[in-house]
Amino acid sequence: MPIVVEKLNYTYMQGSALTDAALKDIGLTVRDGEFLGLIGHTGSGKSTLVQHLNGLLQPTSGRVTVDGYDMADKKQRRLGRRLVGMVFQYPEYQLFEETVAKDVAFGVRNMGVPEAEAMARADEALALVGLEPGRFRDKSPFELSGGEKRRAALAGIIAMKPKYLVLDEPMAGLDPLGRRAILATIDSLRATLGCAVVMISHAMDDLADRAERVAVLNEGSLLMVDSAENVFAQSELLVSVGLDVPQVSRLCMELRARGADIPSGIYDRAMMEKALLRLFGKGAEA
Amino acid sequence: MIELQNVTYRYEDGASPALEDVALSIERGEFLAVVGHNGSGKSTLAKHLNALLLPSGGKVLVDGMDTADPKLTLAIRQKVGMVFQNPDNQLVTTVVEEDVAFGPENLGVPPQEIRQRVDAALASVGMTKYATGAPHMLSGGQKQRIAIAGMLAMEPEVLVLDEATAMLDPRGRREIIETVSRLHREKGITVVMITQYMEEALAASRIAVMSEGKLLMAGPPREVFRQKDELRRHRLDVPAMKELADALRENGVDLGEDILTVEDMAQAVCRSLSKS
Repeated sequence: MPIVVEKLNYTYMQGSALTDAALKDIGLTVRDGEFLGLIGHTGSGKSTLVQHLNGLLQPTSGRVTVDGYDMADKKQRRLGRRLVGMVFQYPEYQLFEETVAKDVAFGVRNMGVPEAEAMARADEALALVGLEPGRFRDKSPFELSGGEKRRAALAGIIAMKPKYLVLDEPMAGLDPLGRRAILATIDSLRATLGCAVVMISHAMDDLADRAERVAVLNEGSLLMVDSAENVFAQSELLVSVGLDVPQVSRLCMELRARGADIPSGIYDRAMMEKALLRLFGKGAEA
Repeated sequence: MIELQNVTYRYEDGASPALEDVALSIERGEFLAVVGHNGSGKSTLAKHLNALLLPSGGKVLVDGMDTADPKLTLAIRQKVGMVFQNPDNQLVTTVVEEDVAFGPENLGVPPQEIRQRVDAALASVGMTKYATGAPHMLSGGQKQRIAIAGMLAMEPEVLVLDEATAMLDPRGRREIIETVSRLHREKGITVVMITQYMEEALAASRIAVMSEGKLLMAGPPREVFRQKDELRRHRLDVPAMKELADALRENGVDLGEDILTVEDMAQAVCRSLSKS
């Protein structure tokens, strides 16, 4: 069963002079096990939208259900929320316990899982994010590097075994090495746990490589939701709403503008390589 | 313009030096990008350029002035302006133009001239229409442009950007790169840009690559990226278009060695097609 968002409207400061519609008439489904990318420029409503997915924000109108649980209902929300693991921007600022293991186990313990099992799940989660439990379990979170802290924060969510993992710019502020480590972690989590991933990111090249579907927000409205292929194929439209497109998409537009015989909508490198080889007559068998 | 002579720097508690024997000279009017991972020493290097940090060994000369001489610190900081990473903690007043005027006021510039400098500085970063607005209402990219304008109003000869784009979204990053490139081109300001984004470094005329406190290499972008394997060994990124060009070459389509940007690639493809 999926997460279903229906006719969602959300208004900040309702009834005051500062009323501001943050989300307008959003309809969106997060399917079991899929990788959904969520893009839009700063202020487009991405973070506001994902906070509805685990009931942190309640729609002004419309409905959100997680595997059938109505997130507007207090009782059902508690059950629905357990299925949705949320990793905010700069999650490393939320580490606070004395040891890494305690921090990772915090959420699990809150779910009422007995101590011994909580610690076992913490170890398991640490291993999954690439922090060897033997080495990291008893460290203070503050001894970790920036990238390690972020993975520890991710482990805290993983330990709760969410069915849906929601990541708000998980690579923000990391250097290229740290970014690659986080991406590799997310890929392996999906492979081992089979959880669905909703990822907000400005890194179009990274999304183009792994998202099955991409949703585009613009000024609080859903501009489109489609396969990554179809979304990045519309690079002109994405550029017009202030978004970056993968470099290969830009190349595709440039080449077509110069009259080269390249199909539109190419966004990933392997596809571009094939198209160019074909163009130079080295092609079809490759 | 700036000479780093075998500079070594050790933080008080640091076991290994943050900078080790770095020799680099920055020419007047050049646009230099300094790239490297976190911990490579690139920001430590930047802070040596205007005497925020002083070398533990070696020497830094700004226009011949030794940064270790405290009498020269003020003169050096007037020549070398610095913009930092976080857009939210560099602005100090509640009105944009007052913020830009803050530096020259402290330098004792006469009021009439301050007015001119502020107007000119705001115009050169494209922020004239926000002059009387409040800094906290601006986007990250706009705040960084105001920080740059504040530096320009002090009429520095060198502008150092210490990861000034790291906390911005893609649009903000583009604004800053475009602004800085234009200032370099039109006003001949010397620019030193510290960044972790290889794609940004391509805007520069020369790239210095830092790794583990040492200067790994320095040269025009094309030369630097020819040493792809060396960069890889230090786990640094190589531009996507360079990767594509190399993959094509392996399959028998050679478009040339030096393709780094989308523009390079598009040109090379079209040139090569019109020949065949």
